[in-house]
Amino acid sequence: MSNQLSALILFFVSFTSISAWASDARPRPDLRFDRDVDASLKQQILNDLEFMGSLKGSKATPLHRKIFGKVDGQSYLRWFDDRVSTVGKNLCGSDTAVACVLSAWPNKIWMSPNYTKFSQPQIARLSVIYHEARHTEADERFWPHATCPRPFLNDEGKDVRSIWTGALLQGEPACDVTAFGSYGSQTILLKNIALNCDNCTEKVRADADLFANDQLIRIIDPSSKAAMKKDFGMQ
Amino acid sequence: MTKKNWIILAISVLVLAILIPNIVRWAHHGLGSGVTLSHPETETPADPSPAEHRDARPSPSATPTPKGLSSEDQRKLSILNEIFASKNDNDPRMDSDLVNLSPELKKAMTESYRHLVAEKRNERGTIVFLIGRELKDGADVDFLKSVLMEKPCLSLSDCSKPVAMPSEEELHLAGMNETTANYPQLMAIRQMEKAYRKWAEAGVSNPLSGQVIQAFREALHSPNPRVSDEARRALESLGIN
Repeated sequence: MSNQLSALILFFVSFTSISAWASDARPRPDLRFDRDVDASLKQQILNDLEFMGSLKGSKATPLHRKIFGKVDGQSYLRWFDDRVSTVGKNLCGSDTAVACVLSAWPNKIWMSPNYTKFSQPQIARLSVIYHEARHTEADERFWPHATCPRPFLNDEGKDVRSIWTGALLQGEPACDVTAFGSYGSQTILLKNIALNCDNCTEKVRADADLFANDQLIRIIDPSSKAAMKKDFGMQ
Repeated sequence: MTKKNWIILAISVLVLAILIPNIVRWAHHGLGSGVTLSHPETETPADPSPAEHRDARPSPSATPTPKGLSSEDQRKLSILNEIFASKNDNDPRMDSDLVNLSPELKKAMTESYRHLVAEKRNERGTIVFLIGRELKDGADVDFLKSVLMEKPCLSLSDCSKPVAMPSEEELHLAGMNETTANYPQLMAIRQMEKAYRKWAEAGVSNPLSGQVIQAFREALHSPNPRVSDEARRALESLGIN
């Protein structure tokens, strides 16, 4: 009888310790997901963060070092973990949103089903997560966006507008003054991956450059924009 | 049972307890290269939208394997399909295996492009990227030009339906979505621009140069303002009037 009891104890001790080990070994063990986050959405986020954690680069621009440190996967994950502990599911008030933050829930980002439904380049959807993670910083009043100027013109002197709807962006809270807000930090992240990621595929680097250039237009303060262009070697 | 039997039973349970969680984990996360064994899009969504129902068309991301391809080309096409299924753009095989594409493979890839539903922006853009990386004959440029002349994709959930009036949240990251909607076209322009610049820098007179410029000039009249703007920028950047 005592032998049987010992065997049972051995079984339960082994099972629970191995289960705990398996749980800790999964990617991002500290990142919690609300119960309503679909398995496919959760898996995609974990896969994408795993990709982010694998990046390596021997160089980084000065602005990148100030915000993220080195071009290095572990630095990127630490930066993310310092800001986001929970992922929830939310439509984010729009049919086209991919992710958002709600200031009542600090350290949490909300992901829309569009994150898996839309077919986006991987680095683009990841940069959206990092954009939203920047918005979780309560110390910085969540890095609120600035109102785009009237008129809001691009480098070619044309009105910046939504190509889909034709809506002008002037007067909308869809710009940043500083290089350190969500648009700025997202652009700096993308540009550095384009310029300095040593183990990225050519496609990832090309995508990062393409999307970075598009985000740069949202920086409306001339000195901030000039500082960013200089940081990227564009001037 | 004897003591010996109990020990054997305990060891068996221990081995199973080690194996089962790992098998489950491998099935979920792939085998270390970021390649998932299960296709996320084949999972049943908790709350499928009408657009997702509409997407239940024949194999939206699978590239058919045409007959007559060499075994090497078939292998490359299989790799492309695996990368699409994994949604891992950083799969190193993108640069190690999906290079030196034969004309037959390129033709198969352009057929795949047509087979993909319009909403598969990343998959379509990936094919454009790969063919555009190796512009070698007129058919390659013709393919990219045809991409530039496509109808604009009006929304990522349904390219044929425009987005309604934008909310503040939509404006917030609209640039990312709009760039994604135009991703195949923007990639086509970038790859042609890059190739042209490379030929010019090498001082090589490439017969495709004129075809590339012609593609840009035609794109100036695209109904998609993003494409015409980008074609204009490319021409200016290359110093072409």
